[in-house]
Amino acid sequence: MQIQEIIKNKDTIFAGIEPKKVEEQIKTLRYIELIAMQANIDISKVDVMKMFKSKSASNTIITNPRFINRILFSFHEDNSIAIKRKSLEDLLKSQTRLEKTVKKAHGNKHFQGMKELGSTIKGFQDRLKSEQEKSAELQRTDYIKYFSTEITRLTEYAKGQDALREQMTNVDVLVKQIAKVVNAGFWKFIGVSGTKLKFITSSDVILFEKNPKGKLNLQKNMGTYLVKLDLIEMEPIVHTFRGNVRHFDCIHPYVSEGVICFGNSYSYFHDAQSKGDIYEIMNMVGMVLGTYSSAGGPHRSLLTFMNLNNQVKMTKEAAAYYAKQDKPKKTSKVDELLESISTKAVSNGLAKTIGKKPENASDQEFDDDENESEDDSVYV
Amino acid sequence: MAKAKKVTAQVLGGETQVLDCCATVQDAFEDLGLDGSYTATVNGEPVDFDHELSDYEFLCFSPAVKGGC
Repeated sequence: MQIQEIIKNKDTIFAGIEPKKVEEQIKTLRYIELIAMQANIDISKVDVMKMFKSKSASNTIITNPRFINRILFSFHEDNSIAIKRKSLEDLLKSQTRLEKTVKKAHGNKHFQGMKELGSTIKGFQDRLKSEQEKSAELQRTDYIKYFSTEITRLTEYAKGQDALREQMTNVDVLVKQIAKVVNAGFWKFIGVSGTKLKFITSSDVILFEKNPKGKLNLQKNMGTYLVKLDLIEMEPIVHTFRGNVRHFDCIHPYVSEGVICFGNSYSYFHDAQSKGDIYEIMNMVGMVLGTYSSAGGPHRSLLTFMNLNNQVKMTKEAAAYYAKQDKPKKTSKVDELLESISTKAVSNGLAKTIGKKPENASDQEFDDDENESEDDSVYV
Repeated sequence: MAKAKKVTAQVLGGETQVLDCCATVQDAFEDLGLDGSYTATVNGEPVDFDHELSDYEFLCFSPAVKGGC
């Protein structure tokens, strides 16, 4: 059972448990979803009640954050490579479509128009030279400054566009950039559409604002987002995918009508955008979507989203995506072999998770685990 | 000051790393080779850089990115 589902049905699930303990359980569930998001751990298919089952009562979970962390990271160790591999397989499957996308993007007017950039720079250089050749009385220092600034700016822009053009003519470079994004863990690549690359967040985005001194403690599950990155304009647009909330045109404190407000990171983003650096662009998008501060001047405060229960319906694309993920695949002999190896690795990892000694674990390591007792303190 | 074992550390958006010998958040910051302006949380709670780490905690560094308009 997933966290949001448990919270929604808390009265049934925690029936017969005293209210203070139920509150502790909810806090722990919120803790699990926050840590999972921060560490890019996809727990959307995990039965949380089973995974973190407490020995003391059948319908409760453990509350000690150290034990929770250990279970979560063992799970992550077992699964992260398989998840990344799946995303990379999707990427390689999309290679033919990516080639078409690249051709489309490269043939676009935007890139053809870039040829004129060289003559614009040359024009500024000529005007600068002629201004510098004037006598001291006639010379305009403000013109010189302006021409010099424009030459530097446009030259930098042209350099970035050259890198971008190279990327657009070589699909292998593009594939490597996308693989780099996937490998970092925050994003999953799910395909292409027209000239747009499609990424979803690896887990639900959990936003929080905490200030123990000011007794501020806000935390909200904002759901999984889809970001379409246009290869021509290098513009990322954010869409709902699964479990999102909406307040008029906003689906995130920093997103209005799909457009992200980058705040103090705009110059970094713009720099990455002009170079066509997909890894940096997606990194910046992830940073802005995954963090919150009311000081940044969001479109809507986190508080606005806190009490919203009007969850946006899962998109058809998301439903199709998750249905496909759940479908068992026909495997080749090589895959079967790989699977048999990874199954062993997974069973060892999970054995560790649920407290059984893995086949290859040293006695000392396992004894260390056993000697620790779970206390009931909640760290959330 | 006792050094914490098996602290899982991460820069938001990146891969997790297990640090085996860090006393404070500042030690972990240096171990990860970070530089610049970051905020830190330990087990999801905001902390200062002189916060002492314990075994099996989760430390997350976020660059001081503030989205906004």
